[in-house]
This record gives sequence, structure tokens and C-alpha cells, in this order.
Amino acid sequence: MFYTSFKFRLKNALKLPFQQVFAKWLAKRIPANNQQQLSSKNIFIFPSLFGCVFLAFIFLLFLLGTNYQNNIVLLLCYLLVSFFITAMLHSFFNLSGIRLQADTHVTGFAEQNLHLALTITTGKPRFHYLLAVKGQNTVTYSVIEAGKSKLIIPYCQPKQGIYSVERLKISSYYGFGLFVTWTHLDLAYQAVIYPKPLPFDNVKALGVMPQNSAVNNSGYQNQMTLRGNDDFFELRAYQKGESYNHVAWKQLAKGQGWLTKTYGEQQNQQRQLQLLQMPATTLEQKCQQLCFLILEYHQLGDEFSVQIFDNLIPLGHGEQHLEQCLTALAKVKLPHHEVV
Amino acid sequence: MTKNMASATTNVQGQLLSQVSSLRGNSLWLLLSSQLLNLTMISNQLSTWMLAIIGLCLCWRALMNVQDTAKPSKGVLVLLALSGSVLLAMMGKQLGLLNSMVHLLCFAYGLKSLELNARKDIYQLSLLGIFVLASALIFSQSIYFSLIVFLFVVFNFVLLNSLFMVEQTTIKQVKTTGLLFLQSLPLAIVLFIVFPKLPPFWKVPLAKSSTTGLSDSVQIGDIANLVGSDALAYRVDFGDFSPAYRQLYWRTLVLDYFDGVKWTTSNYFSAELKQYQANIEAGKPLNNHQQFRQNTGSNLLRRNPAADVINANDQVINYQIIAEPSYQHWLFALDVAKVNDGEKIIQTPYYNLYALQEVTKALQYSVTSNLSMPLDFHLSKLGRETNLAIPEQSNPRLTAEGRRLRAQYKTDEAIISAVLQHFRQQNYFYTLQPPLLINNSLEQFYFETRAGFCEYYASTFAYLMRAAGIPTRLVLGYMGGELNPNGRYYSIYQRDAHAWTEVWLAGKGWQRVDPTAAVHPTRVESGFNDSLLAEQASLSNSLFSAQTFENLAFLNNIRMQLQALDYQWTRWVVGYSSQKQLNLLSQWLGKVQPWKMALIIGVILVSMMLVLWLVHFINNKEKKRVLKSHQQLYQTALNILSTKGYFRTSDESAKQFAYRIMQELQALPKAHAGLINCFLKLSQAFETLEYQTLTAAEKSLINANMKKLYKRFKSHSKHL
Repeated sequence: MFYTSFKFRLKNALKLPFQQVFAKWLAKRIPANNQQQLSSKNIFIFPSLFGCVFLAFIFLLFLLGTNYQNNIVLLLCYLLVSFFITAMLHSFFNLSGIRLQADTHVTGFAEQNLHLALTITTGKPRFHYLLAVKGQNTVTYSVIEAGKSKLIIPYCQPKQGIYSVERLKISSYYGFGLFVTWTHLDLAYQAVIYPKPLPFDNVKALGVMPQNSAVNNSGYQNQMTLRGNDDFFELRAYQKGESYNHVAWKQLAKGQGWLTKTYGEQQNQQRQLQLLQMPATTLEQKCQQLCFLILEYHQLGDEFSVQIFDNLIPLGHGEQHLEQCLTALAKVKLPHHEVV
Repeated sequence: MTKNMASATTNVQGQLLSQVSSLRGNSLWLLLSSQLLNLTMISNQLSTWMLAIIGLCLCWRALMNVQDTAKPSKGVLVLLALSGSVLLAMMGKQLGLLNSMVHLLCFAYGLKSLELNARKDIYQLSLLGIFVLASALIFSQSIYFSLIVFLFVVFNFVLLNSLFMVEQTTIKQVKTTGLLFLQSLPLAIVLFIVFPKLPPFWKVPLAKSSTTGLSDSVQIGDIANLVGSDALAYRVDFGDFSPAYRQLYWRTLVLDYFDGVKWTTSNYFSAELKQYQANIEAGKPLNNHQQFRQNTGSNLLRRNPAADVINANDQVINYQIIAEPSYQHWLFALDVAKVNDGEKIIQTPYYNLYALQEVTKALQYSVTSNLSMPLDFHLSKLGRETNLAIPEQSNPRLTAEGRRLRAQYKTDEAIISAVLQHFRQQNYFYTLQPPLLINNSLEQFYFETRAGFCEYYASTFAYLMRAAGIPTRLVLGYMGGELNPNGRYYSIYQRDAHAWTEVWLAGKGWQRVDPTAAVHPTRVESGFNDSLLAEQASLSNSLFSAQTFENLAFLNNIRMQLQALDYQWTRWVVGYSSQKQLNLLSQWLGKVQPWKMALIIGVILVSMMLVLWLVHFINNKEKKRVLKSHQQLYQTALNILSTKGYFRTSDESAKQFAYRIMQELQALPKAHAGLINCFLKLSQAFETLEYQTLTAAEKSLINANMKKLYKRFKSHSKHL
């Protein structure tokens, strides 16, 4: 057991510095850019295992031809040598010359299968591309026709956060499997990963619930708070421009004039979602729960503000507001648990 | 359509790696057919039981292609493998080493097809397939066979290609692969010509096959088998010399021992030849007859010491011979021959040529023949006895006839001409389909049936001469040859096999006497006449016999063309030896040096790469948009920004991007007002040029302005 752990450590000790050096070298040689063109500067090519076996096989044929002094076998042998070189160029040209453009901004939730979008422009058809971000699933494109094509690369993160996506590896065994050609590109993808929404009974836990305007159109009754009575309820004069939703129709009908209902502190609490008020114990779960709430509120089309530690995002609604809130949530730094 | 494609973006569906199965139906059938094709090339060498096993495997594979459940269980596979191996081990001795290995290879190849699970199995199978094809080349190297083999090699690669060009038509896969092979051809040819030809590294088992052509023991009727064969025996290039038909007596075998039924080589000679060969193998390379005699201490075998001396009036010719594989040692030449090259060929004192190694593939040698030179004057006592010996009581009436002749005529010459006269005047008949003789009786032929071909006459004549006391021996060989006007060479077929005799006359030495000439003069003047050709056709089992071709000039012309092609192939490609290579290269390069050869290979390699690069470049460039100057400027500006970490997404317009950049830069603690200003204006100018219709003057004005903006932008960007 000691031995295995030692071996493991030794392996890591050797592997890590090498990887770091390689990464540094790569960063220098193929710098990040959302637009790149493949050429001899950024393509790697090497015989595959089958390619090496094939070379040994050619040598075997050479021995056969020489020992039998058989010129036709030798001719076959030379033809295969020459073919090996042609196949090498052929597989290199399968990658070389394409232009790539990445849509660098990627958003999504943790554990969700996301797609990195990549537009490839090529003048001739390309075959058998394998695309994968390091540590992610590999996707195969058997043919990419001439012109502009939009490819999708799977991407998934288990935790929230702002990630600069690892290098994308594009590889191909096209060329009879004799060679593997590949490239590691940093297309400057930025992935904003929101927490995975964690549903919880917010009514029970916080006594809050979004204003369910979708269910009720009479408005008034259900806009009342559910906690206790009408204690916090106050009326003030209606000002031009305020939402009709909040007009006190009862009073208007009684001839008391235009009044607007306000909810005081309680109402503010409802609309201001605070990270630290979430019932979960861990920060991560709090984030997930807040994420759930934000989504709920957004779906109902209500205005809400979000407070994450010192960062207050003012009242608002709509897609942009949602993205702003979720992005702020994604930026929350979780304490690191994993120690391997 | 392609133009539209350039602007429109197509969405392509990818597949997760786990969903991709590398072995698709199309590939599987391709694989099966390529296996079948590969194996047909070598099926001649496989025994029936092996063919049956392989057939079983392939049928099973076909079943599996149709229905996946047909897969044999592991037990069945093991059983199949074991039983095949056991059979092979049992038959191994009978098959010989090389054939056993070929059997093993093909067995593995057939069996492997039942186990195709991953891509690597297809890799293995295609390599095995190419190896099967390569080993088929050991047994035959004719141009057409080789071409088919090369075609099938390409087919194996089509198979590999189909793994990576999935969802494409087979025709497209074939096209791509074929094109690649065509592109590889120049370098392959240069390598073939230039790369040094090495001697064998170690001794390998030779191909074993039933012998073809003349055999070294012959009895009456044997040659009839050969006469029916239209197979090629050898080809000769005389250069400028055009010989008369009757000059073409190709000496191959000399038989001097008759046991009553068959003629063979006398034991003395065979034993000495064997010993000589053993000496050669022990490392004493000797290649002329004098050393042969010294070495064997032979009395029997003596050759005219003047044989190698050429007189001024002698007719001396040089010619090249390419012998087809006969799996025998004997070679062919006109009298009196001397081999010019090839240490592997010796000249025996019988004036025939003997290859030290069995001829298992096309063998090329060059010969000088002195047509005017007489054979041996000297005949040793042992030689005389050997060439006079006739078995007791084998043909008593013929023996008596011989003695009668001896008593009647005074000189040997008179006896000979009397017998020839007898053949000529009596009712003797030359036919390839003679009546059967009881016990191979020569006297039955001589006195009763009187119908036969060369061998009958030669054999009987030799017997008669020996009975009359004249030393005589039988010579087997070929007579004549067919001139191919396209290639200006002669083809000699097995059907040209001929037998004649040599008598020893005091003072004149060995003299050729061909009794056939007396019976059927046209046979030795111009070859088979029509009636003989008809007989030959009925003996022949090939679809197109010589007679068919004789009658159809058009077909015959095509046949000649094809054969001429094969001849050149055999001569220059199959027979490209290290000597020929040296000659050729020194003709081109002067002194042959390694660096020159390396240079040639390098130049061809680089030019091949350049051409391919160019082709790729053109292919890829064709539909690419040419950027105008303002587009280039804007693009470089974008590139500068991207190095700082600001990227334009594909759905952003230039304007949107500029505003976004402005916002992001304003958020920075350091002010970048100049940069923002420049980039905004630059983007604006770009959009104006891109989307608005402008006059030429306006365009040039904005372009000039843009250049200035770009310069300022560039200098500002350094502070970012």
C-alpha cells in the first residue's frame, strides 16, 4: 500500500510539472483568441499506434521482398512507404486551413449540459472531427461541408462560478487511422455557471412567496401578505405612473379617492431576496435556493431585488435583470471542500 | 450552391463518442468482399481443406452481417482454431515450410473475420490482408497478376478509409483512396529505381510447386503432355540478330542412359553434379567447366577446351533469356553457349546450362553462343561405353536391325543416312496423337505403327544407332520460337518442346541428327503446320489455343501486345537486379554515390509535398472571401483587442461591439478616452464603407481617414 501511494505520488510529481510546462508553452505558442485559423503553427501530427504498427509492417515487407529478392514485393513496400507520407499530408490538410470563431459567452446552470458554439469556415469538406474540452465529453462530426458550419461542443460544470473554459482539443484520425492530428485551442470561452436551482418550500421557510399574478387577476386579496393580518398595510395617495395593480379599488369605490397600497417593511422584505436569509445551512445550498427563488420571481414577471453580501442589485425585472442577478450569484466564491 | 453555402451557416449534428459505432453495415460488407478478393489471389497455393475452412469462416461472417445473433460462441471459435491448427500441423511436412506458413496466414486471416468488435480489429484485418497479397506475389509476378494485387491493396485501404469517411458513398471513398495512391506513385517509383537493392539477409524457404517443362527422365509419350500446353517456357531477346527457324535448337537436357523404357541422365553425371553443387554451397564458387572437371576429377565429363576460343569466321551471337519459373534447374541455350553473367548458373560439360537454385521466379540471364563451334572431339572410354549401352532384350528386333545395318554399311555416316532415308521413304507419319505402344516398345513403333512425333523418332533412332555401334545420346529441348513483332523478342512455349539426337563421329565429335527433319521437314523449318496445330488444339485444354490465335489476326495482335507488355515488365521490373540498377544509375549520374541517391529521393519527396500543399491550398481557397482593405484594417483592430481579452461575438454588429467595449473600458480605473474614441470612429467608418453606397471619392476619403484612425488606435492600445 505504501508502495502504491508512493508510486501515485511520484507519478503526480512527474506529471504535474510537465503539464504546467506544457500549458505554459501552449499559452505562448497558441494564445487565446476567439478567432483562430489552423495552420502548421498550431496543428500537431503524429503517427497513431496503428501508424507505428504499419511502419513495422512495411519493414516486414521489406525483409520479405529482399530475402526473396522479389522486386514486386519491394515495389509494394515502397508504395506503402510513399503512401504513408501522402496519408500524413492528407490528414494534416484535413485540419489545416479551417477558420474558427467562437461565441465566447456561455451561460447555464451547474450540472446542466451546456453547448459551446463554434463556427467553422472551410473551403472544402472536412471529415471525422473529434471535439472535446479537456475533461468533458467528446463529440464526433463525421463531415463538415464546405462553407460555414455551426458546431456544438458539450460542456458541463458541477459547480457554480465563472470559468474560463479549458483548451478545446480538435483531433482527427482521418487519413486511414495512420495518423492523429490535433490542436489545443484556447477560444477564450467564458462560462458563467449559475448555481443549480434547489427547490424548497419558500412559503413555509421564509413565509414569502412571489406575487402570484398569473393565477389571480382580481389582484387585491392575494397581494396581501400571508404572514398575519393587515398590520403592515397602509394607504397613501396615488401618484401618477404607479401600477394599477396597487390601487386600492375598495377605497376608490367607497369614494375615498385614488389610494395606493403599500406594504411597508414586509413588502420590502418580500421583494428583496437576500442570500443570507436562505434557510439552508451551507453557502452552496443557500446560493442554489436563491437561484430557485430568482427564477420563480422571474417567471412570474415580478420586480425584485437581490442582495448578495454587500452587493445589492436594485429592483428590476426582465431577462437582463435576471442575468444580472444570476451572474452575481455565480460570482459567489464557495469555500473549497475538495482536497484529493 | 457552394456560393450560398459560403455565406449561410449550416448547423451540423455531432455525435457523442459513445454513440459512434465504428463498424457500420457498409464497412462490414466491404470488408468481406475485400477478404474474398485477397484470398482468391493466393487460392492456388491453398489446399482444398484449407479453402473449405476459410470458406466456412467467411460464410459465417456473411451470416453475422445479416443477423447479429449469428455470432459464434467462444467455444466454437476455439474449437475451429484448434482443429485448423492440428490439421495444419499434420499436413505441415507435406506442404513444405513456405506453404505451411502461407496456410497459417490465410487461416488466421479467415478466422479473424469472425471477431470484429472494435476498430483495431479492422486495422489488423487489413494489414493481414495486405500480407496475404504480398505473399501471393512470391508465387507469381506477371504484370497482370501484380496489377490486380496492387488494385486489391488499394481496396484494403478503401476499407480503412470507410471508417473515417462515414456517411459518404463508397465511390467517394474509392476516389479519395485511389487519388492518394496515384499521388504516392512517383515517390514509390523513384524509391524502386534508386533505393539500393540489398542481397538477402538470410535464407528463406523456397516456394515448392509441381515442376513444369521438360523433366530429366523421359519415356515415349511424355512430351505429348507438354505439347498440349500453351504455357510460356521462356523468352529470348536476340537484339539485331534474326535467326533462321532451323537454327533454334534450344539445348536443355542431355540424356545418355536408356533402361529399355525411359531415358535418363547417367548416374556418373548426376552424382558429380550433386557433389559440385555441394562444393558451391560450402563456399567454393566455381563457374566454368574446367574447374568443374578439376573439382570432380571427372573422366566422363570432358568438354572441348577450345570451347571458349572464338575463331574469326565464327557466327557469335549475344542474347538475353528470361526463363519462367519451372521449379527445376535446367536452363536453355543455343549451342555452343557461354553464360555471361549470373554466378548462379553453371555450364555442364554436356553444353547445357544448370541453375544452382531451382528456378522459382522469372530468371534472367545473358548468353553468348558460338553457332559455328563444334562440340567435343574427345570421347573417353567410359563415355563411349555409356553412350553405346542398350539394355539386353528390351527391343531385340531393333537390336538385330542395328547389327544388320552395321554389317551392311561400312561407315557410321552411311548407317545414319540409311536410317534417315528409311524414315523419309517408308510410310512414316508425324503426328501428335500416335497410336498407343505396348510396353513403350520402340520396335513396335519402328516396324508396325510408324506414327509418332519427335520423341518417338529420336528415341528409336538413338537406340538403333547404339545397336549399330555408334555412340549416341538423346537431347531434349525446345525447337523454334514465336517472334513478337511488338517487343521484338521470341517466345518459346511448352508446346515447342522437342527431342533430337547427337551421334559421335570420329574426327567430327558430337553431331546433331534430328530424325524429325527427315519425317516432317516443315516442323524444323517453320514450326507446326495447320494439321499439327489442329492436333495441338485438341490436346490443349486452354480456352484459346495457338490455333485460334493463328486464325484470328486481330485477336492475335492484341495477344502479342499484351505479351510484349508483360515481357517488358518481366525484363525491367521483375528482373531489376542490383547490377542493372548500378548500370542504370551510373548511366544517369556518372559515379554512383549515396548522397546523389539521397538527393534524388529528397527532391522528389519535397516536390511531392509541395504539389499536395498547392492542391490543398487551391481547394481550400477557392470559395474564401478576399478581404477588402477596410475589412482588413477592422479585422486587425479586432485582433489587437482580442489580445487584450476583448472579443467580438459572432452575433454582435460592429456598432454593438463598439458600444460594449466603450462601457467595459469606461468601467476600468484607468481612463482610455482616446482609445474608445478611436475605436468608435473606426467602427463607424467600417460600417459606412461596408453598408452604404458611396461614390469613389467618398470611399477613398473614408479609407484614408480609417488608416489614420487605425494608427492612432494602435498607439493608444499599447497603454491598455
